[in-house]
Amino acid sequence: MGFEVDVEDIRKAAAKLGAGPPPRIAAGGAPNVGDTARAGGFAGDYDVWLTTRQEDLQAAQQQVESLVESINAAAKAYRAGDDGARDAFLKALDSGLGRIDR
Amino acid sequence: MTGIFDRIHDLAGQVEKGSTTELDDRARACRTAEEAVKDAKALIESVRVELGEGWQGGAGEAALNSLDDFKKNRDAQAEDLEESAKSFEVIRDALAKAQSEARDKRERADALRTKLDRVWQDLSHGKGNIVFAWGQDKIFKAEALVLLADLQLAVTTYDAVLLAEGLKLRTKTGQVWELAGSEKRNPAEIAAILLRELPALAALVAKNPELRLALLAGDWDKIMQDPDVAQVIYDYFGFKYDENGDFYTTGEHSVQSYLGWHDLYDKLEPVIGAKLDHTSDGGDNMEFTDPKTGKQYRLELWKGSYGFGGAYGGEVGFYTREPGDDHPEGYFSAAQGDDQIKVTQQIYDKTTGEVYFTNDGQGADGTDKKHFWNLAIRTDSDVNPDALGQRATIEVRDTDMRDRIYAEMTRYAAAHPDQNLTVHLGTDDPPTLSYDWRK
Repeated sequence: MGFEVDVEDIRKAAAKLGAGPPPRIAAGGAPNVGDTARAGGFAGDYDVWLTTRQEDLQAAQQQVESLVESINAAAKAYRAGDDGARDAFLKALDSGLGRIDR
Repeated sequence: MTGIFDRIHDLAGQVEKGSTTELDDRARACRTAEEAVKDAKALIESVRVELGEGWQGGAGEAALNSLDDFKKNRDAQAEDLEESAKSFEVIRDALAKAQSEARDKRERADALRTKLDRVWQDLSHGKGNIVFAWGQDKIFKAEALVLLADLQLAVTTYDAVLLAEGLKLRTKTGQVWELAGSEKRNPAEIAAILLRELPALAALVAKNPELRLALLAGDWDKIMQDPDVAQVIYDYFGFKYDENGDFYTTGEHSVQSYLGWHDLYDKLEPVIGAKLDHTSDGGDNMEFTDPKTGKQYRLELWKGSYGFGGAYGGEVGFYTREPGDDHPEGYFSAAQGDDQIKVTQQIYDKTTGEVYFTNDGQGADGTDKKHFWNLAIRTDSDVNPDALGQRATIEVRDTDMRDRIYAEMTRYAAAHPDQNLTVHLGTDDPPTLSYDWRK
């Protein structure tokens, strides 16, 4: 008793994380900044910025999915009562989370 | 006279068209995303808390550290979105200010125009006299010019804000994935550099919406189809025509002499529509270090087609990097002083042996024919660039440097047999070597 409760709590927290809405940026196309000499260049800057933010948020979401998957896999493999199950669980988390790209 | 009033109207219209509401919307979208990122971070934190409670030393520490890292990059994302929101607000405020100035100047210009029209109408109806009318005309013209100057200053100031904030937005890389957006960032960087460096190009692009779109998309084929733009870009690169040899070469003070050789040069290759063989394939370069000075040297060869298939030719470049240079790795400066080399480059047909042209050092300053870059391009779309060979004789300052170049070129040739590069030592006085590149 004891650690299996922790495992379940960790799994539940991970499930909650996985169920959380993925952050998205709902900005439209380049804002109308007028028609001055620099306006066209700014539209390009904005385009780069928006794509960068969208791709970065997607990467963050993939990170979350990998994190949840690693925790689920470790929790599934956890056998309460087995000798060394606790260490095996934590080691699985160490290596599972360690493999996720920052 | 109406010209000045029309210009005030045009200029005012440029900023009045802008929408502060849309900029506000973008700032709001950033903050909404920022809150969502903070929520995601809180959920990661709750996983960390649960794991922390179950962890009692030993294993699990790395997992906790990983979770700390994930939290940190969510913080970085949130901060980045906050900074982006602030950028949009800075632009919004600058636009609002410019619009207020524009409105004020336009209204005052309209009032002046009305007054001026009345003066001339009165005169046409027999009121007043021509001397008075001309006097009034001069006063109103002067006042309108002041309004125009003030408005130009307001618009230029706004443009400066757009430039500065646009640069901040464009250069922001991803926080979780550093390469996020890089596919768009690279062509946008080139476009920004060219627009900044070439006011004439910026003016041409501003007049032509199609060119603007092409520049933003990095569509160089489309851009170079415009002869005015092509001329501006070729001038910028310092190309000049050698009538005797019927080829283009370049001076020692072209843009590349300031940029040196680094990744940017590769990025600019599409700008001149080049499709080239080069000796840096696979990341290996012909480089060596002078053990006495610690200075690094790089020799680069190129040959192939330029100008989107409308021209062909080749280049030999020689670059240096001082010890302790704090430029990014891979950055080399154009060789200067006695590091410069005297090159006689010949472009020929590998199949028939026909020599197309020879550049014996044209483009160099003065008469010594020493340069950091021997370039020769001929405009002719009927030559098959795949059949081009390049051979050259290179003269350097002393036999020590010649031997180092020779050793490095033979190493490179042996490591890359597909390059089909053969190198021969020449005379010691002057110190020369020659090569034949038949890739």
